[in-house]
Amino acid sequence: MPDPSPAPGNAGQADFWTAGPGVRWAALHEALDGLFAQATAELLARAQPRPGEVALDIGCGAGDTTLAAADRTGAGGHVEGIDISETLLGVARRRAGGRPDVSFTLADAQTHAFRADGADLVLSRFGMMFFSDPATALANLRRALKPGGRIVFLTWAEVARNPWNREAKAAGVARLGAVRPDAPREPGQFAFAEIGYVADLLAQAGFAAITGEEAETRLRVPGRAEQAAALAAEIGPVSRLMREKGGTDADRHAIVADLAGRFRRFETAERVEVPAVVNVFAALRP
Amino acid sequence: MTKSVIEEDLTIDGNVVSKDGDIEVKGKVNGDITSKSVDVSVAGQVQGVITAEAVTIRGKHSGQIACTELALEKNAEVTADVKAQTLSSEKGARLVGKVQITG
Repeated sequence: MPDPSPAPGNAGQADFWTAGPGVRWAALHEALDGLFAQATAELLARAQPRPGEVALDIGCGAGDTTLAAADRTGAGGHVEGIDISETLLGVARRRAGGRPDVSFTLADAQTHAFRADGADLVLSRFGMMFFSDPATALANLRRALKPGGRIVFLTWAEVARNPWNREAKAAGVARLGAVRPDAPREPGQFAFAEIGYVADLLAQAGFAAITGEEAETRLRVPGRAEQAAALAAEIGPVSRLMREKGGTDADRHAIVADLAGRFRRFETAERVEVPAVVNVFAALRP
Repeated sequence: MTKSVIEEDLTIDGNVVSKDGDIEVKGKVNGDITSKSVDVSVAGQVQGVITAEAVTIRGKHSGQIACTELALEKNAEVTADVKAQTLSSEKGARLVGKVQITG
């Protein structure tokens, strides 16, 4: 019987993604999947799930990438989504509607006893940056792959090059004041921003043929800058600032108004398209 | 083996080759470097292709790196396509570009 409880260092992440912020992500999953649609396409283009393959989707959240990968592995294949949040997995299971080629498991991928040599592919869209011990987590995922199996995942490049997050934080800080900056490599959204660091971790974990490179993408929100700002204010740095500073509804409205101004330059005729830079990593189990 | 140092007040526009030697760059090189080892110090800047067995970057580099062992230290600022057998990257090192670790 798998043990769903997280490693001690990951208990905070489990609470985060199960309670408040996780509940918001679950409620907003359609908007967030739309936001990340181009990144998802990039991931699938790189990972190339093939018919009949067995894949693991790490940090699958509400299951968007799991289902998209399963559409490619087909009836003869299987994709298992792994997440630390039952809140998000509940949404994922609902969306899967009982289809037999996907399953979802509540587990900490850092320590979960995956079936050894079981998977052709491990993939992840922004789900790899939260491990308290990333080297251990990557080694655990390597053991889950068949020899010759591949791992392909996306992480965020540095915040300075990602205006969705950078501008949201700037608007939040302008209203509520500064918070302690995240230390480099600290588990969180930008922990895997350094390509060299992650390539080194993959090598330590026993992977071969490691590549890491940047890719430009766009985060899309239908409508105007106000809609994009409202979505950005629900998650990420504004959400954190609101929690830590005890922000009020008035603060949120002010932040959204400020952020809408900052996002205005990204408006197109039909939507807001915020440029983003992600890191794409790929490696093989020898 | 010989060690050659490109001192802080020295700028070289052109390629630098030291077949079996070690090169330390404290100044600037606008060109390719081929050597047994290359060490770009904190004040050093290289713009070009570095080819060596061991490469340590503490300063700035843009271009390409092809080596066996690559070490990026905390002040490293690298914009390069990198191909190495091993890579270590200290916290704070910045690397923009494509990395291939052949193992």
